[in-house]
Amino acid sequence: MLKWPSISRQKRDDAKVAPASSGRGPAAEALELALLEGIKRGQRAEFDALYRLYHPRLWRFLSHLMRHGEAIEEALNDTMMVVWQRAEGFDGRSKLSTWIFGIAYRKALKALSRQDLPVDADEVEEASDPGPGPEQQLGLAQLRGRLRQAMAELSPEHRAVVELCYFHDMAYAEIADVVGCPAETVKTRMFYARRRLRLLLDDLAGQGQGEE
Amino acid sequence: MSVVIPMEHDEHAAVQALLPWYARGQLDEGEMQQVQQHLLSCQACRNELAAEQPMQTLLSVAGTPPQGGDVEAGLARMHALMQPARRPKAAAPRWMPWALGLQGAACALLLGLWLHDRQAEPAYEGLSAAGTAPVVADALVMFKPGTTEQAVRELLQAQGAGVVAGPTETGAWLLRVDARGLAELRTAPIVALAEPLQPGPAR
Repeated sequence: MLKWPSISRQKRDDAKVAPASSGRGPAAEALELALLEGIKRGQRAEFDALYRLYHPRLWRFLSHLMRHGEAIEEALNDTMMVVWQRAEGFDGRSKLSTWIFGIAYRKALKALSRQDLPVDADEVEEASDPGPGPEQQLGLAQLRGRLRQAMAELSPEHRAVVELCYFHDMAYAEIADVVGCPAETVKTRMFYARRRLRLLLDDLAGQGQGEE
Repeated sequence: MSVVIPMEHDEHAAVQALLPWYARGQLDEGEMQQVQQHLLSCQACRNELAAEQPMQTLLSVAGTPPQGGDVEAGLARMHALMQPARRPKAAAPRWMPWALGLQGAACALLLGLWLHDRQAEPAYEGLSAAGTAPVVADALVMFKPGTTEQAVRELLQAQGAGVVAGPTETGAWLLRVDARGLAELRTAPIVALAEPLQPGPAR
């Protein structure tokens, strides 16, 4: 049985925090749709409210696709500009979040193709050697580094599937809508991505056992 | 890594691909049963399922960016990009096409009547004009709604145009103006319509 490595109790408690999207029910979706109706009429207050709702979620999503803060914000604002200018383009056949995340995904991939930087090499280098101390205690920064390294070995398309599933709580059909590919492709990407993350988990678990 | 391989023939792989959504209860009934049946007989996949919670924990703890973006700063930059404020497209009232059509028909009728009367009757001569040439209009002009009297006056003065008659009930004016002036009137932003009344080239 896999054993979780020795991160502090506080960090484990933090981990119990529900994903950002898990608390979003029909009422939240109805609110978002009401805001979108205001945006269609050109009302800025409604746009501001939707922007504040989506900023944390899009920032987190985009930060797994592109790491530079400026690039993230540019892609985020490009996404929200589409929402502002083309709100009428949302046809209601999917959730509003699916539409917005789909725009963000395409904006991120476009930005990455312009930069020709699949991952940020400097940050990967920084993360490549977690350098466990004498106590073999994995600090949060080191843990982040290990995960970033593992994620960096995946393509942006694979990282998007992981992120949308594990943090944004999307079913695979919804993810397929966001990234614009068949559902089978989403499953395949998850299979490979999960296999890579599983190696990391095993590695971390081995370190955890080694501490005892 | 981006190659899609069919996993339906490898139940082991297919089930493992579904485990994240199985653990969240996000599969349909058929897929839930497929995974459950496989788990009953597969220790490896049960181990994979057991790894789901640590996987979620790892991604929740270590996958959160150390620094989130500044919402208000981002919004302020957004506002700068949004200048000027977008105005919703004003939908034309349903009666607008009919009103425009009627206005056009009224203009045509007025013009026809006026031309007919001008040919049928002797030219009007005011008392002060006795013994002088009749004043004949060269053009029919309509100004855009909301145009001020001052703007009309300035335009007519600039083009050497004079008012022969008007405004009519439809807001049309009959003007005395030469060809160059008429051409200028047609391009003036306050003019909605400027048509010559004289056959052939204007004077």
